Amino acid sequence: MIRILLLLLLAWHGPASAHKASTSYLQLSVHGEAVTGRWDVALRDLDYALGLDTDGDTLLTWGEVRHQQSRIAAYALRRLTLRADQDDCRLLVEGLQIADHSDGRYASLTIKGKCPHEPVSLGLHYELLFDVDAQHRGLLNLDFRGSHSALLAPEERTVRFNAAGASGFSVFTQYFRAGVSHLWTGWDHMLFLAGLFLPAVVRRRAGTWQPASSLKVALIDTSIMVTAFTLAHALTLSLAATGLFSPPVRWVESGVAASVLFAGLNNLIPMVYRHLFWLAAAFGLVHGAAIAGALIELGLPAGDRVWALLAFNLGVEAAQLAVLLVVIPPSFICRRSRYYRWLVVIPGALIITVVGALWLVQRAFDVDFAFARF
Amino acid sequence: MRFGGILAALCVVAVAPTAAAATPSYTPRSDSEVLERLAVPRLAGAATLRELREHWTAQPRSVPAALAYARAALELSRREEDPRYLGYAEAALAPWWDRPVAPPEIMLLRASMRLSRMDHANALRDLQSLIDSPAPEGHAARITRAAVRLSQGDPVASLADCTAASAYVSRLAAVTCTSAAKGLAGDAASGYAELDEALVGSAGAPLAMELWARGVAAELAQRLGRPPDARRHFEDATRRMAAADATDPGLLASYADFLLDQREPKRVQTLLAPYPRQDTLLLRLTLAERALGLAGDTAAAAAAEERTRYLTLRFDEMRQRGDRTHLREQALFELSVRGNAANALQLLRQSWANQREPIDARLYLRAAVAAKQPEAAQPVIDWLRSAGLKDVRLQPELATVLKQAPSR
Repeated sequence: MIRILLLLLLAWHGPASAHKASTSYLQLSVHGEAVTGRWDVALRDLDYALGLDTDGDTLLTWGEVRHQQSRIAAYALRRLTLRADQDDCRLLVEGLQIADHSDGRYASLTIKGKCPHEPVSLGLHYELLFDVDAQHRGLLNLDFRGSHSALLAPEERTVRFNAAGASGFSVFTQYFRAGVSHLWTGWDHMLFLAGLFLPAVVRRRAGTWQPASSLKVALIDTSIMVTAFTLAHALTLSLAATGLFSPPVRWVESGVAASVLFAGLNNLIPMVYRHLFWLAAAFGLVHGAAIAGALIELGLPAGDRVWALLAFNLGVEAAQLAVLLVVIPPSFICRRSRYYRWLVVIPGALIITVVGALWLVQRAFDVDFAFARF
Repeated sequence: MRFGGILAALCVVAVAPTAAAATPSYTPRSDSEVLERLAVPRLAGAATLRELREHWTAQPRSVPAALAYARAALELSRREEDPRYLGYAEAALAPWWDRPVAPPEIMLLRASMRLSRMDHANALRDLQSLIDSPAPEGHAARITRAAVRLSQGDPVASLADCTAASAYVSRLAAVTCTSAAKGLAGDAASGYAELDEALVGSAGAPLAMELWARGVAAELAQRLGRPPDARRHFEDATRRMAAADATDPGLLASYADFLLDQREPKRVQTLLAPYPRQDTLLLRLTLAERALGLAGDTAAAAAAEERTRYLTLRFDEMRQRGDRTHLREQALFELSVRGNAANALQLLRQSWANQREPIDARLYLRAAVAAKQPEAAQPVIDWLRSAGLKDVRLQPELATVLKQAPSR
């Protein structure tokens, strides 16, 4: 009893500085999609976590460290996640060297990686050594649109770097770009639009396909549809992103799949062919709720929420209109050809229908089809 | 060989004073090159840290397994002054760390770790709930809280806890506790007399107990202006420590501070040379070598310069880690080694909320005088008045401060 008591008393008798506590040094650069960096982790810590001293003689040699590069790499990489917006970047350890720090030798890992797309916001999650040493800290130096630093601790494992603190204009351009890139990388969004666009130059009238009378009409028609979609989309997106409305993810995702299925099917067996913009608007509401998840991941800058939301929606709209401008004129020229219908509209609609159906099953019933993963 | 490693580290420090970013990486020449000598810590009991850890890993939610591992790691963190061990101990208690109520033994250990992290608010909450509980750990919690109150400069609260706990601990522990509290309240003379007498009558006390008692006795003797008595207690304590092959870095640091006050840097050098890996001791060694360097010892001057660079890097690393447990040591470094009184004052302002021991008061006064900001020392003067502390070591600076900034 007394022994414990004294141990306690003396345990904090000298709380002042001492040996250095466990620290890792992580330097990363993210330019475009490419990630490069270096990660220094104390050999003493790696040994404590992994047991590197294979011959148990308490002397850690270069041979022992070098031969266990893949173990060290696997251990470290499992504890570090880098996310470009909501998608994980792939990280690899390309090399292992040694670095001398003030408290001993460190394994210096050369990091290479690739993100699925150029990130607007970069998230980093760090778990190294916290399970064995609660005093461990990770010191991050990041070069990503300027240099940042962060301290990673058990109570602070995730950090995010985005447009926060930037000027209003740069917030706008960043979120505008995010909106554009959302469209380019969002397959379900694209397919739904394709479903709407495909028949824009041909019309179902009185049971037959009629070519649209002029390019102007075709462009105006599709623009109205797309804009109706975007307006509806903006409404739910803003509500969801500001936290006023949060529908269950599974329902929303299934709704998006259902909309793709419907858009495809509608070209094969026309069910709705007048006032398509109402249909576009209805599905816009569902898509908006789905994208909110992505935008929440990005994070909204505190002072510039409205700005960022507006920019994101305008980005989506601009990208959609750009797609229209590129796709509609050539389709218009080909619209009288019967090949257009048989080689483009019908196969396209079939693909859209099938993919929409697969997604619907996958999302609604939580089944994983490897070939339908986007 | 170990020293060779340190020299190598010092060389790196010399070329790369700005932490990690600039540290070059390289590929060692041969597979047989030894990169690290792994510590094989000795423990008091029969089991090794590795065995206790394996036992814990196999059943991380078992209270006895977690306690055994955490206690061993904590003991090592104190003896080696190595915060990695503190981190291991904390990780062992992770399942209980944020729970308001946990098994009493866990709470007691958790409180002491929180004190090491300078998280006084949560530590005191843990101690309070133990004191309020019927668990036997309540007595240990009370005496621990007495020591916390003392370090926070509250002798009245400290004395109340000592008195309440005195029936449940050894006589030497009870007297050490009350004497320390009395000493802070301005009655060092009777506190010292009682403690000195209790020490005579308790030959064969456990090592840690005796070191604590002798440390308090030496401190009280210094406050009373009786260096020979202080020296006797320090010498007895270090003798006992050496005989047991133990290290108490806190006691060694106090002894070194005493010897530096007595202008005996050569003795500090001898005393601390075996501990180059412990920063609190390394700081005192640097102060001693600087003093020797000023007296014409060029080797000591060069060593002090090297160590200064190393310590600068260390404090920088701790700052980057957001580590706030070293503010007092850093203040001493800024004031006495780098001659930057304004920085020291800034650091002491931050640490004063949690640390109000005579050593803090003295540093604070010295920094205020050196920075020519006597009014900055007002919190110390207010505290000295309310606690009633009398300490001859504070007199010169206190006189200067009071002369320059007549108190409100």
